[in-house]
Amino acid sequence: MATRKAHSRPELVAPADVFYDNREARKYTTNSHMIKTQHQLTERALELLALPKDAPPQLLLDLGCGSALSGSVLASYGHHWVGMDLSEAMLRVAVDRGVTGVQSADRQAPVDTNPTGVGVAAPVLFDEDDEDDDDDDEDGDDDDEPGTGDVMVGDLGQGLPLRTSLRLVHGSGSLSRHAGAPVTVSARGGETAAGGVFDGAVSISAVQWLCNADSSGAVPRLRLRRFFATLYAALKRGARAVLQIYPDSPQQAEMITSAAMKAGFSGGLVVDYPNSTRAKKYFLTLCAGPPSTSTAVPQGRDGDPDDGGDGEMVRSAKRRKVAGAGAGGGGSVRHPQRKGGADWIRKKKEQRMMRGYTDIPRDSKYTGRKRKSGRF
Amino acid sequence: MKLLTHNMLASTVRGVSQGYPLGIAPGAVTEVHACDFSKEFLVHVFPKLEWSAFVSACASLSLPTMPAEVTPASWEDESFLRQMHHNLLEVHVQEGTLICPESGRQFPVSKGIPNMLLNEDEI
Ligand SMILES: C[S@@+](CC[C@H](N)C(=O)[O-])C[C@H]1O[C@@H](n2cnc3c(N)ncnc32)[C@H](O)[C@@H]1O
Repeated sequence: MATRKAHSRPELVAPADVFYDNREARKYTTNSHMIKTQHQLTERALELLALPKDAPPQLLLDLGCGSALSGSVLASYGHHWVGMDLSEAMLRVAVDRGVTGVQSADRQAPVDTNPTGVGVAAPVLFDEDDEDDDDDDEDGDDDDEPGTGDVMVGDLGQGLPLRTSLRLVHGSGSLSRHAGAPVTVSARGGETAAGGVFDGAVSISAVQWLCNADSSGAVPRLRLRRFFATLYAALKRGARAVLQIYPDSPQQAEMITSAAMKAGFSGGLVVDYPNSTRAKKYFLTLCAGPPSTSTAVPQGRDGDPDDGGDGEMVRSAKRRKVAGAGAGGGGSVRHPQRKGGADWIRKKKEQRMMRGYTDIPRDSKYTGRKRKSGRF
Repeated sequence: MKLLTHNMLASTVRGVSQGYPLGIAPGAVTEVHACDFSKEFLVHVFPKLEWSAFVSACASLSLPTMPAEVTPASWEDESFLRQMHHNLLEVHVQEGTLICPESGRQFPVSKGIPNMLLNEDEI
């Protein structure tokens, strides 16, 4: 990451909307190391989000979504995400990359009409060819429905500008409008008077920015409080939020975590590769609701991310993506047992389960599937 | 800005208690950003929506009308589902103004992106 090499902590350099100007936004989004890192972090965050098995596409928040490197991963799993970021320049890159959908007028146009000049092969998210369909889909449903995203300019420290459940209940909400929905919907129980509507939230490499008093009158504690209170209100009860952060000290990690707890979240910090300075990553893993066995904080990954250890699943999944990114869409051939393939992942998961790990993602129809977003 | 996003947005200007739904000022410019249809997602997202706010938003943009009431039959009605998908997820407000129903505060939408930033004295 060029950015981090030059300034290992951009949040200390300037406010996010100043730091991520047009030039930086472009640089950020085309840096292959950055792309890879943000994708891996988002994959891990999704894993920790532990969305219900066999759930329909979910409605997620991406906080500090930037140019949607993280959002593209959410969409590749079929989810719909709503993102917020302080930097309009970053969001513009996101929209130009086609994360909100393929603009109708140029739907037939060749991909190299990408108006930003950003070295990103235009809207690939919705490309249907060379689909890597899982024959062994448990539910036999091979409909592939990549999600889509949307973005807004906003400051996390001001709180999320979203309606809360009170509005849902006291607004137009006559119960009859639920009458038509299939029973499974009303039986989910999440969308009650007590909770918000989002099924989950991720935030990748953004929340540490809230700890900086970067403008006059900005009080980090207050900003964190507003952020967590409004996030809690936006989430369905029992939904999770996974915030990957770069705290600059144990005190800062503690300040962020305790702000979350005060807002009513349960959960805590998951640290992956705690013994590696380079690979060590913090994921604040929260549940909007009181603690329970199902909200116990998962284990962090351990071992050396560079050997054949625990980090390998992610890394080889990435390699597959890169393979799929080549010209002519090579790499669409299925090699079920090849390293990184669906069957290989399932086998690895079994091995890990045998060893007593509890943070193993469930198999789904997306297991081992090639990410469409991996093609840029 | 998609209407799904609009359906979630509220004005949180100091002193405002509901700030919802945000009005869409006349003259908004829209585009269509096509995305994949998923009935599963529509069914999933429906109970999360303020349906009447969605219906009014469609009207403000002169989109094909959505029914005021959704009935069990609606979920079997392909043309309803397609229209809901289109209005909720594909229609994109490119230029326009969102208006807080309580304070009148305006939030601009520019190049497809709403700006919900508050001034210091509005927090
Ligand atoms: C390292 S980038 C990560 C972007 C994206 N999540 C990704 O994975 O590529 C950090 C982002 O956080 C955003 N950010 C920083 N402070 C913010 C704030 N107070 N409110 C909203 N976004 C903020 C920045 O503008 C920037 O886009």
